[in-house]
Amino acid sequence: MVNEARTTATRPAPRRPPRRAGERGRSARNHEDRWTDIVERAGAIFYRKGYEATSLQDIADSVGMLKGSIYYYIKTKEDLLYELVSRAQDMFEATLEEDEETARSPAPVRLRAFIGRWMALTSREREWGLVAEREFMRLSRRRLRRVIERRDELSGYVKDIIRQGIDEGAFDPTTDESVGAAAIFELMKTSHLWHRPSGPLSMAELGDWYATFAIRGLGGPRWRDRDPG
Amino acid sequence: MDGSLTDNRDLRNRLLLAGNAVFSEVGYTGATVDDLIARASTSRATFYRYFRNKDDLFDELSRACFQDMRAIVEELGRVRAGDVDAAEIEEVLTQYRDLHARHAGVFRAWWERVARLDPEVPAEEGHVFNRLVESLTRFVSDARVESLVAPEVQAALLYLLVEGSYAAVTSRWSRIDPDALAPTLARMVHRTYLGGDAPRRASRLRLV
Repeated sequence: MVNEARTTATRPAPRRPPRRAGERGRSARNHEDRWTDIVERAGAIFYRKGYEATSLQDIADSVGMLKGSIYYYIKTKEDLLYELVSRAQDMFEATLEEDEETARSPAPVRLRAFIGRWMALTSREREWGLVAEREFMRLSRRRLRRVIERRDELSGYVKDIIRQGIDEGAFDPTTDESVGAAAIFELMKTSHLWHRPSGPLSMAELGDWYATFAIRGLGGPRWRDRDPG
Repeated sequence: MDGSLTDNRDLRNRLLLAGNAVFSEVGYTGATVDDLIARASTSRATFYRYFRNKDDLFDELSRACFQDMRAIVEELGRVRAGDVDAAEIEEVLTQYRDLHARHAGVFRAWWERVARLDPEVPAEEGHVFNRLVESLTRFVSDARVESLVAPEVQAALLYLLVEGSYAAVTSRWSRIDPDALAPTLARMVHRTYLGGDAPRRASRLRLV
């Protein structure tokens, strides 16, 4: 819910179809569907051709509408990129939600579970994840700042887990938790740059190694040795 | 005006330094010859006296970078998993960081190409990176950590981890202390592959 509200708030409002509060009419829904269609097709083309090489004409052709009509929804190609990156961030923010049992668990368990959720999503949303990660730095300064803030929120979650692990005596207290979190995200985010779904290694297996590297690297197995089960 | 040999070298160097700075700030794709000229406070005529185009200047920067890199790779090649401590790993990482700082423009351009899956990453770069990954693979294999992920893939991932972390930390939106990177990463790598200060037995890794 929070995510949805956030996406709506950050959309390029001026050219959006005018809507009154509470409106649930058919045309409003059609506009929503059209908009989603445009964003999804833009994502697919950015994935294939790269953001820079894609023109609004390419996107219009793919949606099957006139280029002029696209300007009803957006002002610039960058509006589309921002929408895509924001939607990708909404999806990845959902991986911060833990079930109650995991939330009460020791840090190594929570960390492994989080990496698992993130990699499962990466595997499902390969295209968007890749486009967002590869192109987000092309956004304008103001939007980039917002995107970076949201990235910082994500890494804040992992930093909290690392701190918890240090408090529990599982992780090395000399760890810089910002570096630890950055390392974990760098590993996870490189996956879609090179991983081939048709290859012998699944994203889940890869994620398992990331978790092992992270937990072991931070000092976790010693906790496991001391307190098995 | 710039008739003497020294002056020629100075101008050429100035253009190279300008190139590195501009590439690191706006990326390779985003940089134009005009940007390079402006940064070096020189003229178009001067630029074209020394370089055919942007690519030509970049190739020269690239060669210098990979020459420096080869030295680190060779040192890494001598590292054996059995007798390395976290401090030595940290030393290699610190050297790598200095390399990054010296050749920031080349790294940014290289990273752009990798991120775009550009098949034309120049052969020399490919060669040095292959050597780097080979050295790391030996290190990973020596450590005999059990995993479904093949040693050469682990090695490539370790490389991407270091490369990506430096790129992240040195990017203008990072709030991470660059000096904190090498110590923490070195300890993470050391503990994963060599069991850190834990008993040797614990270096057997279970995938759960």
